[in-house]
Amino acid sequence: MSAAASMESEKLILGYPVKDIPWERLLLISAFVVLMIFYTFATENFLTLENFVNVVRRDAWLFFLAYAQTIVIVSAGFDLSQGSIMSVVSVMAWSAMLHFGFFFGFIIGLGIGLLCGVINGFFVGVVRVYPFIATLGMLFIGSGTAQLWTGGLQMGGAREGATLPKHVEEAYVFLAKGNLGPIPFTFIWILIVLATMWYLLKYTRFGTYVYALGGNEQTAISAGINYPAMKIAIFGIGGLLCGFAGLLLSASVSAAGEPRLGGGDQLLQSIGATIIGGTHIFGGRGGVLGTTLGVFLIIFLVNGLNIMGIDTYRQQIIVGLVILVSIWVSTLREQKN
Amino acid sequence: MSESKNLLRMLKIDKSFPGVHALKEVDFDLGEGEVHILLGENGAGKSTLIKILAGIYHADSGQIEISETPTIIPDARTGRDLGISVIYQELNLVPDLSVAKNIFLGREPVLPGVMRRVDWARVEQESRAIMERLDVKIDVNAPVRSLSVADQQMVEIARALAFDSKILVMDEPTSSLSGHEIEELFKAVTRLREHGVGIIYISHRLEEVHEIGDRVTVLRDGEYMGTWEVKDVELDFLITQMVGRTLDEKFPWTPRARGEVALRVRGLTRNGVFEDINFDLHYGEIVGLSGLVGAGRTEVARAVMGADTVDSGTVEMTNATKEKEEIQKLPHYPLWMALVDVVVFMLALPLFTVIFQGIYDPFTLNMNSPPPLFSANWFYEWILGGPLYNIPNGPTPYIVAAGLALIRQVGLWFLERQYRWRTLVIDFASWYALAIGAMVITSLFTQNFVLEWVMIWGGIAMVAIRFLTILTHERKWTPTLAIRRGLGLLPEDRKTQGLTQVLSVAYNTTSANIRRLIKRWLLNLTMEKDLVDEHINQLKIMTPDQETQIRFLSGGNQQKVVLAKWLFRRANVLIFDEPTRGIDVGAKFEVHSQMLQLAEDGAAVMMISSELPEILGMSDRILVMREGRLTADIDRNEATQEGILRYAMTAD
Repeated sequence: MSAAASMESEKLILGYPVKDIPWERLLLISAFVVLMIFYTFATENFLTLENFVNVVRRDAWLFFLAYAQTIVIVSAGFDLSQGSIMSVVSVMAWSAMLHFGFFFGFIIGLGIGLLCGVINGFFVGVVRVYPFIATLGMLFIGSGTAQLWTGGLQMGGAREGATLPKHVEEAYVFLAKGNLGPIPFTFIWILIVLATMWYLLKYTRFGTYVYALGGNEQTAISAGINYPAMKIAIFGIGGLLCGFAGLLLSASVSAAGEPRLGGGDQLLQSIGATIIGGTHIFGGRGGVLGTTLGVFLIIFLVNGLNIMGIDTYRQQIIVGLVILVSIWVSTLREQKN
Repeated sequence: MSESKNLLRMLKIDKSFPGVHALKEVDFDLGEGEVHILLGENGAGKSTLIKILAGIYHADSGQIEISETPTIIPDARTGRDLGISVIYQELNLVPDLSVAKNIFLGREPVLPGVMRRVDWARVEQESRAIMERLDVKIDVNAPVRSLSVADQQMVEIARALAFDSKILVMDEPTSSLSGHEIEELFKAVTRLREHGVGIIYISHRLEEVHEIGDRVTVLRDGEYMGTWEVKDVELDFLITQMVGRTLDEKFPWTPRARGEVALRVRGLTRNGVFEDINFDLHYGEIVGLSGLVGAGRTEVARAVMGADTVDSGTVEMTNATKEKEEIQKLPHYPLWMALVDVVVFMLALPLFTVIFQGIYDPFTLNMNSPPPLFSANWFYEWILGGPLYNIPNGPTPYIVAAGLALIRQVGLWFLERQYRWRTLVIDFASWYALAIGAMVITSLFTQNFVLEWVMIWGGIAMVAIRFLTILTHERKWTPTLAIRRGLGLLPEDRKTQGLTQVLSVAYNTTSANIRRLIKRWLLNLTMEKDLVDEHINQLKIMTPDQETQIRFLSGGNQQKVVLAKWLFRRANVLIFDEPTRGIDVGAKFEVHSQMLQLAEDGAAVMMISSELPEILGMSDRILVMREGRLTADIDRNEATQEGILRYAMTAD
């Protein structure tokens, strides 16, 4: 009986043993292709360069959020607090920019994101609370702090006498909408972070340990990996990227400090993109390249629906269903085992 | 071997757990380049000894010497640093990292420089060197997940080598390997031996003793029986050393008349777990199922219960209904596949409906009148918010539809490899029949709302009907069905699988058959009280009252509550999995009496047990399993401890 099993495992298709073909990945790619074909036929200006550039520029924040979620989920964690980290960073960075100018405001914004992430990591790694609970706490603390900071108002838009100086505001908007020659800056940010994260996960000791923690925690710990430090670092990187995503999104919504910035479906979309991209929900498997594909799938799904003139409520239903089905499909294999 | 250098000596190791004296002054030693086999029955103390060596447990008394120096091993880390590596049955690897990364996990070499970059080239090179040393062909860059179990074991051995381990413990390394893989493993072991590594080899396969071992030590009930040179001893001698547990326990066994067949199991197979299991269980009979831990006994019980799926075989229960229920493979059309179909169908719809030319031409469409109810246009209005534009005429839609169907078929082939090719062809043909039929008919009538209606809702109905058909025809053998037929399983892990710890005795007794208490849509609590009292008295459950929480009861009484639960359910075919594990002697006798009483009342009883005296004392008939196969069916009068152990441990 085990002889038969070993025979089967020796048969290779596309370099994979038969039982290990990543069909969830194949399914994702074919779904993406089908979707693109459908939109191309169903709408007039879906398949244009202009549309592509606009969409990626506008939804650039989702890439960073999804990369943050990817590294956390690969290490068998979970980050629910992404949205509220974005909100906190948005309002606090705005205040900092008001006083210290764009550059220091930007750095402070990233620092706050990092700090929130490190606190998450502390509770997960040192106190050993489940990531789900720890980040749920951070979700409420963050959104509460952001609301308290501004009294619930938007900063920069609604309140009299509190607008950023012109040059600061221009620099802030440039972050999201600027171009380097013909290439939008956001593309460059995405490429830099993607390349860094990819290298980090694939070729460094840190990345190896991230996969080890997600794949087999006991083995990882018994191999001498510093669990608390790793968790703090992983959630810290996650928080940092969330902070950057928050700054980008605030910049693209007219450089305002918005306390409800991350209160929408950002979290769901980042988890969705990560899971659709082949990262396994219980950790140990996946990566940022797949996540990039997942993000593309989500933003162009929404974009196509927009062009077809479908209203937001139906869009939410469709996006929710797509994410639900793809998570379900990706867990099927584990259920079988 | 005694003249070679001593790697390890364990002297007078003594260890007690609450209630159990696990090791009684056990001696053990290991020389350089030696394979020392450790033998013993279930619970003889082998794994306790190993865990003490690995630093997971601490001996109560005794001394450990490593390379002639007395040593204390406080934790697993120290054990590893001292050169002790244990390869457990559950492999300890990270599945998605490459082989090389796994071998060097936690000790990656670093390139000089501020960046402290990992020298991956060296990791790969050294891993390759170790693999060469073991003379195995494993791609060190492949993820561990893609390797067979045998190769994963090699990776573990390679990892031990990379740690420069001098003492390697292998806990039943061959239990999940096939013949060829075992040979490979033995070759690797021989090579390790040549490099001076000492190997402690735990096995349940007695034939391996002569094949691989230099010396053999036998433990029995935590007692050290002796160490022998392998070439001096016979297998039969080893078996007699392993058995011989005292038979002073009393068992309340009396002869009974055997009734009709209650449960008939034929050809039950679950690939890699158990194979071709055949047995009958009669009313009024107690059958003992013996075998070593890991032989597949519990798995067989779970499969008979319908809790796990099987690859082939039947379970037949011959009570009241006399109806034959077959264990089937997974339905060929699972729920998720139906949903995938619906999604693909919806995506393909706009392309199919182009066939109805004229209906979807937005320029001729009269936008003032609402679309006909349930028509395709109504469908688009509702789902997509409006009609579709830019759908080209000509052959494109057909090509795209064909592409979609093809993707779906390829997907199916990847997803469901159990799918039969015939089913695939029929499936593909049915899709095309639908498309071509629609095409032909619409060429006759250009505008036909009825047809359109049939297209959309008929397609969805087709999927639904097919799903329902399969649901009703291919009926799986599930626990629900098994319980309805009168089968009850008392699981080994009764604390979590058999009972709800924080709820009352009454709740746990009645929960499996709450319907019995329902009168006019409500629970009749007075009746519950009476019935539970009846069961408490009948089974002599020692509990202050029926509202006491289960966790306050002793192990024996908890076991009785599980039994009460099945009796309340009126189960008459009962499978006891290790019924007396963790129960004190007095309660043991009572559980045995209850079992006997059940059989006398006409129930069919099957008892899985690792304790040979219990098996011999209680069973009318004894089945023995070895590595997923039934190897013997022995009558009570002919059974001996040696006989059972021989069937359980040696190939015939």
